[in-house]
Amino acid sequence: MNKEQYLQKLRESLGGLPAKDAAEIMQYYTEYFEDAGPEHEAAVIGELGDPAVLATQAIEALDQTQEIVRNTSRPLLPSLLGLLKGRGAAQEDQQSTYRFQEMDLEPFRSVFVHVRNCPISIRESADGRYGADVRLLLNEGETAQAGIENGVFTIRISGRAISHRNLQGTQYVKLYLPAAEYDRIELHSSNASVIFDCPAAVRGDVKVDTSNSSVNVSGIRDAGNIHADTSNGSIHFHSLKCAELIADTSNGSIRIENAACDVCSADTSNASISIKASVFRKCVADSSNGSITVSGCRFTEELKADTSNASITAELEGNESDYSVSADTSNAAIYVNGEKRGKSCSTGYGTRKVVLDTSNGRINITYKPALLKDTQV
Amino acid sequence: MAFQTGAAMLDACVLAVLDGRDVYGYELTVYIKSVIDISENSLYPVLRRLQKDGCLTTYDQPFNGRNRRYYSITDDGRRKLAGYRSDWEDYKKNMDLLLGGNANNMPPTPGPHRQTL
Repeated sequence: MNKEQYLQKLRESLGGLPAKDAAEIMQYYTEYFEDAGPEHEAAVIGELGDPAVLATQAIEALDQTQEIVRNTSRPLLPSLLGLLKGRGAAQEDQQSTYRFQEMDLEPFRSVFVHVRNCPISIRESADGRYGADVRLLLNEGETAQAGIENGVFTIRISGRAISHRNLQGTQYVKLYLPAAEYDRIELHSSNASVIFDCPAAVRGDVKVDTSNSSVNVSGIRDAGNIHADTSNGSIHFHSLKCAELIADTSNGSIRIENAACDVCSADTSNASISIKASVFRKCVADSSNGSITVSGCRFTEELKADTSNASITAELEGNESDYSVSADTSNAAIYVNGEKRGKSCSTGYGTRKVVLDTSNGRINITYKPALLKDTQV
Repeated sequence: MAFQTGAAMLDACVLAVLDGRDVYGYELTVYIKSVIDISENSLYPVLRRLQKDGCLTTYDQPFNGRNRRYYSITDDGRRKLAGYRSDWEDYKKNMDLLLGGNANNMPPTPGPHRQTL
């Protein structure tokens, strides 16, 4: 078979197609042979294979592209929720503003949000429907993607900005979730706050991180681990039940209230930590230059608090004999039930271990019966 | 080669070549074939798809008494390529994490999960 015969066979195999499409495919392969030159003719015929098969592939390519065209001509992008390009005043703004609002989405099992400089808030939906309200400003080179795929609601900014323009306007991601069960929640932003407030149950982990702003997580009925990470901003955990509860920040305070977890860990610097009305097996609170207060908590194994240049206050449920306490400070005193005990003290042989450590700060330990009537979680 | 070059990867490769300069079909195929193992008939569908997506345009230029069709990347194509490049960086990093020399990055076995309180 030579080039002419091959192209003739190909043309015959493309018979069913509209003339314009067939002509385009023919032009491509005719040119291909010409550019390859007579010396490569046999090799090209061998590589391209059966002309009937080649025709089928080309037709499939047409079908695919037509499918894509059909999808993109709708306001919704293929397999995406469809971030609608906003109608900004300026041409530039039209390029860079993505807006999406839909208050009746199909249900999804997981949430993945990855944005920049954009506050995220997740709230319980009032009517049990899944909803989203999103506005994002994009620099050139960045693309926004949003959609529900395999049960995961995803909003993601990808690409590195080629040029940074001074984008006008505010960004936000707001989601409304019914108090259902979810597989996984992941929220990533920067320089903006993240709020999760919904009585959801999460089989896997809840991960939240941002920077230079606060994180607020509350209401989760049950979860694997809940992990919040920020810097220069506070973390507030309220009414949560999970395996591990982790708060990590710097220069921002940490408040944990009404939590029930296996392990609780709070880490900051230059700011205070307060843990109240919570139950856990083990708790570690670590700060520097910030006070630590633990009160109204019930724990089965260990409480550890470490700071410097600030006080530690531990209000322990039960009697001195229930705990084995080791407390250490320098340049300040330890008080047990208001009674001064010097700079270092270890008391009791109880099974619950308490380790308190500071310097230049006072340590107050008080024992109170039945602080916690019932877990509120 | 055990690893397949999927549709998105081919799209990305073609856009990256076009980002350098405009090329015609045969030239493109020969170049990509010199780097990765693909069959000669796999690029037409890719070009077609990218064109319909608005990622590239074509123009004809006379050559030796006939026309040669050149493919040229558009602004949309460049945006798409930027996205692919960033995805590729992530993908490469993740695969290196799994396949790279320092394979033992697995965290230790976690403690008791979700203990009943």
